[in-house]
Amino acid sequence: MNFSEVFKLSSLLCKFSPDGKYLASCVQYRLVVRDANTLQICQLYTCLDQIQHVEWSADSLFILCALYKRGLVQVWSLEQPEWHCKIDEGSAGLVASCWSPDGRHILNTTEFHLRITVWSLCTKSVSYIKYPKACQQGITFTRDGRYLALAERRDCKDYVSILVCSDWQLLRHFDTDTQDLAGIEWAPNGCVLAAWDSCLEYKILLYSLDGRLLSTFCAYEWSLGIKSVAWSPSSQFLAVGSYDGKVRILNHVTWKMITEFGHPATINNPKIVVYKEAEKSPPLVLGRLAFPPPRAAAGPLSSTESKYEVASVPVSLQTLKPAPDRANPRIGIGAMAFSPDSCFLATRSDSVPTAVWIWDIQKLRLLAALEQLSAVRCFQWDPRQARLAICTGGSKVYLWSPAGCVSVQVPGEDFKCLYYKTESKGSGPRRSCEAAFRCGQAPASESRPC
Amino acid sequence: MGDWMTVTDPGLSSESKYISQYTSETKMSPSSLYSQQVLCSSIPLSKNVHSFFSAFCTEENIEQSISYLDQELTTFGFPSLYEESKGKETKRELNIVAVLNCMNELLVLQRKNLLAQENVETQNLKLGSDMDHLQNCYAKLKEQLETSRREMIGLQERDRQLQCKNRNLHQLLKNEKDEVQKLQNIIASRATQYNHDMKRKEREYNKLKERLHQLVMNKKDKKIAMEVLNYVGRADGKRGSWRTGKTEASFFLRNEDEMYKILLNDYEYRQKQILMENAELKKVLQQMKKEMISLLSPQKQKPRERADDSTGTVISDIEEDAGELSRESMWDLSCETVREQLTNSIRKQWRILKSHVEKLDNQVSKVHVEGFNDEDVISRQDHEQETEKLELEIQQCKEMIKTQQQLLQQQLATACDDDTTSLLRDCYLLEEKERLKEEWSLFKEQKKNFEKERRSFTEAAIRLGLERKAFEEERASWLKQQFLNMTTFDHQNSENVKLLSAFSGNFCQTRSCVSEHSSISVLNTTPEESKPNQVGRECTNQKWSVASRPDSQEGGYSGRSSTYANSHVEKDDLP
Repeated sequence: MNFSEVFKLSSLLCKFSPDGKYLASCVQYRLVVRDANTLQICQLYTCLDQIQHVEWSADSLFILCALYKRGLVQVWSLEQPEWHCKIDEGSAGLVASCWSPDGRHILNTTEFHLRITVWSLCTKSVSYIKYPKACQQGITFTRDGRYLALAERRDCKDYVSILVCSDWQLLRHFDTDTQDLAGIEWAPNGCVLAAWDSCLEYKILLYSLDGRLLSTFCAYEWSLGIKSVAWSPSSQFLAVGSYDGKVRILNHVTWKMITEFGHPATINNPKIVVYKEAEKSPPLVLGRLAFPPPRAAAGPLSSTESKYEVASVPVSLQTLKPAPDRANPRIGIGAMAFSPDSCFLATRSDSVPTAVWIWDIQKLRLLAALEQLSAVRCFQWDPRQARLAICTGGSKVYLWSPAGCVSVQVPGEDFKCLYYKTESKGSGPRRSCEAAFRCGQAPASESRPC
Repeated sequence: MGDWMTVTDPGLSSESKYISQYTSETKMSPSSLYSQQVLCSSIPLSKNVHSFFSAFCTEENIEQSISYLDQELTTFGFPSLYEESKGKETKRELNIVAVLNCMNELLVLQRKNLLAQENVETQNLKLGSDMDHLQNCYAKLKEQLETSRREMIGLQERDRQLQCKNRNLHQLLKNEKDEVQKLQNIIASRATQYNHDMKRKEREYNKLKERLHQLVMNKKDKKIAMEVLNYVGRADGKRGSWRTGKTEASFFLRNEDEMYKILLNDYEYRQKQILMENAELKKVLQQMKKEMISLLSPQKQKPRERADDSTGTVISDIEEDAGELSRESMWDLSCETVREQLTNSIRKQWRILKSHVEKLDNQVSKVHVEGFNDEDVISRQDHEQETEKLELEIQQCKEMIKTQQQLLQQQLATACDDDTTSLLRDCYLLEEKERLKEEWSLFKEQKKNFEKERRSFTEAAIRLGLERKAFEEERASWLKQQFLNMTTFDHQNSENVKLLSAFSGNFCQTRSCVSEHSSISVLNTTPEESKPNQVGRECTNQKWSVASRPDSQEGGYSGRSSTYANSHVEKDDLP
């Protein structure tokens, strides 16, 4: 793995274009677009205020910069640097902005979720969608960009509207049997929509594209319910992570549960490989030890090397005791991700924050567990192969593949990996861009693509 | 009983007899004397006894004693000692016969009595010990009774306590249940209240939202606008079309059509997949069936011979089924009849197989039980040896694996910074590279050596040439002197000079020839030198080929040697 030099970055805004050719990053009110191969600056745009959100259009031709504080959206074209577009939401305010899949419409959500405004870049038309629901994941587009599903709330009931993206016409509108709809997500094949209730009730509903209810699933009652939902890229499985620390896998034929993955704190099965991150500090030279230690050396992570050790079973993982008197307890499955080939599922249980579990979907069993020294911030699969990258907020990026595990030290002083992104589409057959981003404690943050 | 037995000590009993003897001495009544006499008769007569008897009857009181005895005896029912008095007031005569009879009878009686007494004594003792024993038993049983009573009381107490506890627990459970019910009710009521409040709040919120919407949106907010330099074309190249009332319906229909098309495509795709899966499964079933039939058919003669009717018929059925189902067309039909047939036949065969396996199992167990004594012992020894051998092998393998792992880890530790998979590949490449480098350096060294040798050869040749030259010069000078000594004429001098020049020319020629020769010899040496090295490598090559495939050894060797010969020939041609 190679590392580039360090780039400045503010509020973790850095995105690869969908075609993988460009890298957009924001520094305060400036938007910098670089060539992803050479990392040379291609374009530099200046916005009116600090950028709070950046998004590439699906065809990688336009970049949207949202300035929520001002209620403004600025759009830049990569082909024509002089072209510009500014959308002002005025006093209605702006809380979210996103592209439609065709890359010619922008969906702006106003403050208090009063409405969603659809601005077109092709015509002067403006469409409004009323009653959008303020929830975890209220807007979802199908992969092919044909349909938009939108969660709505009218008269204290939840509805889902399916709109055709080409002309923003309503295709289907149906109410969902939920107390408080928390999220909706299309299956990758765009034929099934999963809708789940808020954490107070365990309920997941599956709707066909034409609005028919295919199935409902409820694992248990009374206690806190669903925390995360993930479709497998093959649309074959739906993984539902819940507050009881289990992942339930539903199949696409009967929509019944195939299996249940518990996340026990101790691993006894000798077939499971448990990788434990072990730190070894370099030998200390007494005479050279400065007092007080310099800042770079102060951080224990920057000065020590770490490597993985295969722990022998039984292994007991470090668990957090959840505080019962606080909202949003640190329990349950907080994050899940299927590998691009649908063969593996990576999960993180919030009560065991230092561990990542990797499940074999073909055999429906636990394959490996990684225990880090610090809490796992995020993980992401390589879009081309079964390789998982993990960030813990330290100066290292951890990679897992079926062959093994490595920890990669990111060079540079006081560099903390908080996010790790990898993207590849089109262009060369063997090209992937990975970037780790530094946290924004200091005013100027850095990104490090490689 | 044992205790009782020890009590009858002979010494002790005799002692007691002496004591009784002693006491009888003190008492002087005739009745007691008699009894004493009876008691002591068993003891052999001693002086003591004689003296005692003499003391009872003296010379003076014979009459008295006789009358006393007579009285006594008559009272005991013996005939009188005196003769029957025929006349009144006549002195009664002592009847000796009667006395003797009486004495005899008394003696007999005494003996009897003694015997009876003995019996009674033993019985007494027996009874006494029995009594003791029974008393002991009684005491013991009493104790037992007492303890069991106590135990019973304890158990009853415990039972009572447990029951009490149970009652308490029941009560607690009931309370808890009530509590749970209460809490559930509370939760439910709170939930409904919460939902109600939420709804109310949401309504309010909606109203507010509506109001805000009106306020914000209907004021013709000048700010809400989009500034665009120029509108861009659509991604698909089409022009944007405006919706009008007329086209709306058609748009909607088109959208519906598209949606259903997508759904249909998805369903078709899934159906195709399911069909494929079905076909695969059917194939597997068919294969299984065929294998089952082939497995079961050699066995079918046996049951027929044994007139085992049930399995025989089933097998014949199977054969028929197999005949039917082997037709490929049947497999493509997915109608229910075929499925039923298939499942039925498979089930039948499975049953047969199962019974067969069970039978085999039984046989095996029987054989195991029967033939356990002789053959098995030997095989077990063999087994043990084999297992030992295998264990040894496993140990060796483990060690090997361990060392390999260590090596691998070392490699990984040295270069763990890189990507996982590419790293390994790189590692291998690096290793190879390193090996090649080593080889390269070796070659270089060899080359250097050759160069050195060559240089030394040339140097030697040059030295030789120089020596030759010196020799030539010496010879020339010698010839010159010789010549000068021989000739004194001046005119001959000029000729001499000519000759000398001719000599010198000749010398030059020879020198160049020498240098040529030396260079050739040097060049010739190089292949000669490199030859053994090459041969050695060939040998290694040969070895390698042997190791890899022993069958193709001859061909590979001959081919290699021929090529080597060719190359050698070429090399020979080169200089």
